[in-house]
Amino acid sequence: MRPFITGHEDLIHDVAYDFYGRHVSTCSSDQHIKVFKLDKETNEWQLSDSWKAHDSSVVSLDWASPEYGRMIASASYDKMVNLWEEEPDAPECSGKRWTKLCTLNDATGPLFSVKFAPGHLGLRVGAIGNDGILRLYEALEPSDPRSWILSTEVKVLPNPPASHLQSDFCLTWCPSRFSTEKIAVCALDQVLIYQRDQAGKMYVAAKLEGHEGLIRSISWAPSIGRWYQLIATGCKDGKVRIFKLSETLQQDSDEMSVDEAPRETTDDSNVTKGPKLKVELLSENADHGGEVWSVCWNLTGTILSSAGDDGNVRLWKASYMNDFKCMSVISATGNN
Amino acid sequence: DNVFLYEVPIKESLEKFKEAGKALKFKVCPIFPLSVAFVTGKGNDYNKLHTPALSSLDHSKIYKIYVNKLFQIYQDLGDDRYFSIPTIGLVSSKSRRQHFETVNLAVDALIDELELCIQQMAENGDFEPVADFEDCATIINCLRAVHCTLDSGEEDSRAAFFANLEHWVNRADGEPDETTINQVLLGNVNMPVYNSYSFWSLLGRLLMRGLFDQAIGVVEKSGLLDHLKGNCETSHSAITELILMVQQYPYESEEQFRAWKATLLQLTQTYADSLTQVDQELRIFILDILSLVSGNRANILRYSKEWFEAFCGMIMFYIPTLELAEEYLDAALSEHPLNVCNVWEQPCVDIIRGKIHFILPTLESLENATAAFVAAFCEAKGLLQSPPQLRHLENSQLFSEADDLFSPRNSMATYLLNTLAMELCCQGDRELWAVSIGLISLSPSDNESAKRLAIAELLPHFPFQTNDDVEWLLSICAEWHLPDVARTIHRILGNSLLYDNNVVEAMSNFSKAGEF
Repeated sequence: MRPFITGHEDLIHDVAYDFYGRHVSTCSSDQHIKVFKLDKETNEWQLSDSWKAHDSSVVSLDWASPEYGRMIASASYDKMVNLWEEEPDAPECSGKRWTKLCTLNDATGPLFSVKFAPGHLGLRVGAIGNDGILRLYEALEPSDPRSWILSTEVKVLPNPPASHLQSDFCLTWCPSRFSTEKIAVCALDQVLIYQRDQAGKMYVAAKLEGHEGLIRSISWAPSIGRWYQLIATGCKDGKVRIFKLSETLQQDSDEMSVDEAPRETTDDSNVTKGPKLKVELLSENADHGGEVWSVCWNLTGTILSSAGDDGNVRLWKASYMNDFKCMSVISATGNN
Repeated sequence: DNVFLYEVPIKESLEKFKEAGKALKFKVCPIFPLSVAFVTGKGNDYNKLHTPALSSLDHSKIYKIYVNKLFQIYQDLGDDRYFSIPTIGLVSSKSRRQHFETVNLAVDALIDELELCIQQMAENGDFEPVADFEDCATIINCLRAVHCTLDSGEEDSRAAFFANLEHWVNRADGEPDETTINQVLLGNVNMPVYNSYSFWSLLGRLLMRGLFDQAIGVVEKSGLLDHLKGNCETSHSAITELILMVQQYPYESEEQFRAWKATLLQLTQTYADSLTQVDQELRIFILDILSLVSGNRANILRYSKEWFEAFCGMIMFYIPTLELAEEYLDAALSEHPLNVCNVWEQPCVDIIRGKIHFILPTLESLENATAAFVAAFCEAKGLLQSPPQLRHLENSQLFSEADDLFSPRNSMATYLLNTLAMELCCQGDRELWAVSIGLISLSPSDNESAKRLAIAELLPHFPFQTNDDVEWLLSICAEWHLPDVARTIHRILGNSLLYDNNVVEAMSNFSKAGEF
């Protein structure tokens, strides 16, 4: 496949595939979102539509589970999350194929990341930005996704970072349908795992520690065939880290496993919380020799990709003894 | 390293790229080969998405057929997928041999499919993966010869063993090829070819490789017999007798081999004791070849060029038994060290030494699907530890975790089969998806719960297109008791139909999903 020109007039910030990988959407500082669909015959991406989605850079976007139709959420530096639905009867490339369902306008700072929850959790979307607050929204009626409520608001950072300093925020949901609702949130150099208790409140169930710089990217692996969860992070300190999360019913004293009093969630200490999370650092690699900009798992959670300042994309795979090794290096520079 | 097909995403030097604060990112697509890299940076060069050439095989029809065939072979093994020696219930001394015979047939079928796949890829011009597949074929041919032939106890198993041994050695390096033979035969116009060492070396190599027809052909073409007929009746009759003996090589029986070897030893001794009218050098060559075929180890080592040639020669002419295989191997390797540039040589040595688990990483690096099925067949033969055999390690620290599909307690074959299943799901191909679910269902792990959960997580991602696809999906849900997943699928279908303006069908699916 040849490289294809997206047609964006400014920086591309994010790329998101739909559930089956037959559509890909891109967002840019040119304030536009573009959707491309895969031509089955030629196996090439073809522009389906392009439209102005925000009044500032669009920095993150995500597709909803197909259980809820074809929907895209976009987050922008204009502090808004917009939700879009495809109108199949509108002509392709008309700029009218995607209609705005709703604008979620609670953030007080530029947004950095937006992600739909996995389908089994319902029609939900999470967003985080420079105000350091994680907001989870829920559709009142999934079959009519025009009405949304702010269901959860969690202060991840006590204070928002100073505007003149570099910052980064990202989030990822636990995709497993056999695990309780969890979301990993990166705020600057820390990662918190939030879990929902039986009262429906989110609390910090664990922290992923050891990061020595801004976390650029986080990805929660689909845990197909595994009892435990894997989360990968890409950090400005040059390291790709893979954490293992095991759910246990017992309390233990692992340093990274915290069970703090739920912050800003509930005063009721008798509420039954979810399973205890045990966190282990499974792998830590500095092969990129510089900042790591993205990490992303494949569909089955067996291959992790990472891209970094060495101009390489690395693919990591667990061996028989469960240690992650770089199985392939893809050079993105003309030097090799 | 893989490379980007047409152009690389980063155009400038890495230093400039970093100084400008640009960022390289990579996004994995649910259809893995469609994943893209892109650069967050200003300029026309950076409004492109780049797909790397992750594997040229991914979309190859030949490869998909090959993987499907391997799965069918594995599926057809039935209960013979598992290695067990019944000691209670219906105990039959024949059952073990029958089991080996069945698995050996599966290995035969795998090799046939692999060689067909290689041939079709070569015809198709897909030369890049052919080299890796050839290395795989060489390793598996060695495995079949050493571990998957004699133990079936069939009447013709001994003959099959020699055939498989020759097939391995001769396919491994394709030597001596026609060009080499012609070079030797037409080598020096000033000297008869039979006076040169290269001729006798070629003859020895052909004999050690079991290429008897070619060896006889070379002798006939060389004019040796005509020369000897007029000059030395003793040497002529010795060579004529040797040709006759070689034509009668006793493939079938050990007893016949003893008699055959005794005759050859007698022939060699007689020739050594006789006066001849040929040059001393030619007499030595003739004597060397006679003693080589009589099983003289020194001459076998001297006339061979590669360790596997010497190994094959010793098996053919010294004592044809695998009980001495390691001894033969050590002798062969002491004379001809391994060529580490050939990927297949070390695994073949490991196979002969019985260290089957050592070959799996190499096979996996060459071709995943082949590695997984070979591991499964080896486990079925008891050549690798199976899950029940690993249970005794249960209390060790290594296996302290609960089993999942990738737990080391589930055996290497289970790990490789499940890993393959996960990989096939990422190709976006419906046929490979069916193989994938089948592999998880049939993998030797007895943890049905882990299999069920894995299938439940995977199924909604199936890229359905037709009604048959949907029926297949729902039948899997029914088989594995996954009502929630079935509801999810109905919801996805409902929405998909709604987009196609098929409202009635959409409502029907929403209804089945419990929406109304």
